[in-house]
Amino acid sequence: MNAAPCRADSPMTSCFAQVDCNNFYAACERVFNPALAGRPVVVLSNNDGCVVSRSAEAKRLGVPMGAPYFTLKGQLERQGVAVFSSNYALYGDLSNRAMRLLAGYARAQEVYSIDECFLDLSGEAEPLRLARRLRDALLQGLGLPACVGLGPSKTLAKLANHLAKQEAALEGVLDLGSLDATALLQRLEPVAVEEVWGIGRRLGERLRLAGIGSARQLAETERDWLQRRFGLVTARIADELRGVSCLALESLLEPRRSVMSTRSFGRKVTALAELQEAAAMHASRVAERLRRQGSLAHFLRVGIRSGVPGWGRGGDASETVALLPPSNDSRVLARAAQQAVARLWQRGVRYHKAGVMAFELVDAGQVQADLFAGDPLDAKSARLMQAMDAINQRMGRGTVRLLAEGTKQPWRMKQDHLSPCYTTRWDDIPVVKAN
Amino acid sequence: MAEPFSSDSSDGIPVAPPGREALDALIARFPRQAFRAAEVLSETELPLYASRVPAGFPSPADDYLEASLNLNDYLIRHPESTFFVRVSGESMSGAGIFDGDMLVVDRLLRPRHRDVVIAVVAGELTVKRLELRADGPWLVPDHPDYPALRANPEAGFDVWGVVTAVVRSLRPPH
Repeated sequence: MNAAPCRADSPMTSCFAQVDCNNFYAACERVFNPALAGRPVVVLSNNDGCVVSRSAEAKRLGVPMGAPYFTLKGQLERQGVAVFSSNYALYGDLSNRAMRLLAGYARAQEVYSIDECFLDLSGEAEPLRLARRLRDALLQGLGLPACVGLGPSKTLAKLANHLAKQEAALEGVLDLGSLDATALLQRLEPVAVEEVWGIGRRLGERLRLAGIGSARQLAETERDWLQRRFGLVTARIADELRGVSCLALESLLEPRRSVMSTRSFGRKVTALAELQEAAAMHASRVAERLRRQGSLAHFLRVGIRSGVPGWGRGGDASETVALLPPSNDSRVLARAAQQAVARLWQRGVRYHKAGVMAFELVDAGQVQADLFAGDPLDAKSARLMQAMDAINQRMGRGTVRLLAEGTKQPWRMKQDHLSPCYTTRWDDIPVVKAN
Repeated sequence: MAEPFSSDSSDGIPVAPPGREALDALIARFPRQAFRAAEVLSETELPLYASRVPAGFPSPADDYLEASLNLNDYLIRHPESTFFVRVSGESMSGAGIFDGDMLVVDRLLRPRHRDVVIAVVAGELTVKRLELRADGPWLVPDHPDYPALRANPEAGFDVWGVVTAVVRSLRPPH
């Protein structure tokens, strides 16, 4: 959060837009599969575990969010619901496209999550009209329905979006910045305080005990009292609700400072060899990402998890390994991860997850030959990795991989309902009929 | 522990055993100054040369450097809303679109009369020519054996995107 003091007297009235795609994963599945139009669609989490995204039709059928798939399977089949495993290659690509498309319309953008962003539309003469254009561009250009909320602060823009999603009459767009103070408070009246961005359930409970149950009540609470009782962050949220912008857009231009890959197994794993395969795969994925952003890692943290957390016997075991010299070579990271796992592994324990994280990253271009560990930019290794990345980019991820990652990968996560990678693999591009 | 870092010479991957102390010791041993110097160095602007010559003469063309031609730039106007699709069937052969061809499709373009479009018909993506006739939009194949189709929005007709280019490899790379 930004630490700058709030200014009510900013020279130009600020205007933020918050754009949020509706039921994003389910919507992505529909883009290249028009037969799904009007049909209920659900997307499952990793390992086909539980429902993480539902189309409006699936919501109307009462399919609960987060429900385990195995308890719903029969019901979904009977109701004719189309079920998909999460296809992150597809969602990630469509998300990138959506964000780039939106960025072209704004002075600045903050990508907030895979399916939402904030835009700075300050100085825009007709923000509402622009908001409608953004919505149309996403729908026409990418086939993704979205809602756009406008407001003089990020918190109000987010709230406007929330209201636009609920009230069909608004056609997906609402501007809270055009309201005068009285009308704004009326709008905030029916909104539960927990719905306000940054409040959440626990703070909401505390606010309720103090008699603050709605967004309106929060906006009307005296600022100093609020700050003394609930802290500066809460006082700022109240400022934001009154239309005073305290939170600036945060840019995520910096490359990531750590890179992680972690996944649950399709089934419990007890054999060390399988655990090592999984660790090698995650390490190799991490290395691939490091190469993409041009970083080398000094450290690798390798973790394995057993049991069900909270059930007593569950536990995490992890180890940090130093890479000398820093590296982004898949082979180096994979071997380090395998060795770590060999030390962590215990006979007879049933593991259900493995993960690898690289941290203390440095720019590959800036690293100089390490005096006591040889040349990190071993040219041969770099060429091999380049070739591997080029092949995988062209023929699909995992076409060329380390033998250490295993060939059958019996521990791999379950994805029984995966759709094609329509936009990232040549073999998967959509087929159009000429008949 | 006398030596906190066992350098496994057989595979060249030095490995630090677990433990906070070992980690701190290692961080302390980092040649931090070297990195900082490298960062400072990178802040000074360096001229970009096309040819990397450690010795000898720079290329006389360096001053005239332009970016190479990029087929994406030529074929794609809106990269965010442009998709590739594969054709199955012969109904557009009159328009020079054959079975197995790849099409470049821009979804952001507004369809015009006589555009080749990707249309949704009965839940399927099809490639047709769009004709805006007096009695409404029609989807017209470019082949004598195939009938024209009335584009009926009630029957789920929709223009999915406008075809902007055809890509046909005469010697497919793979």
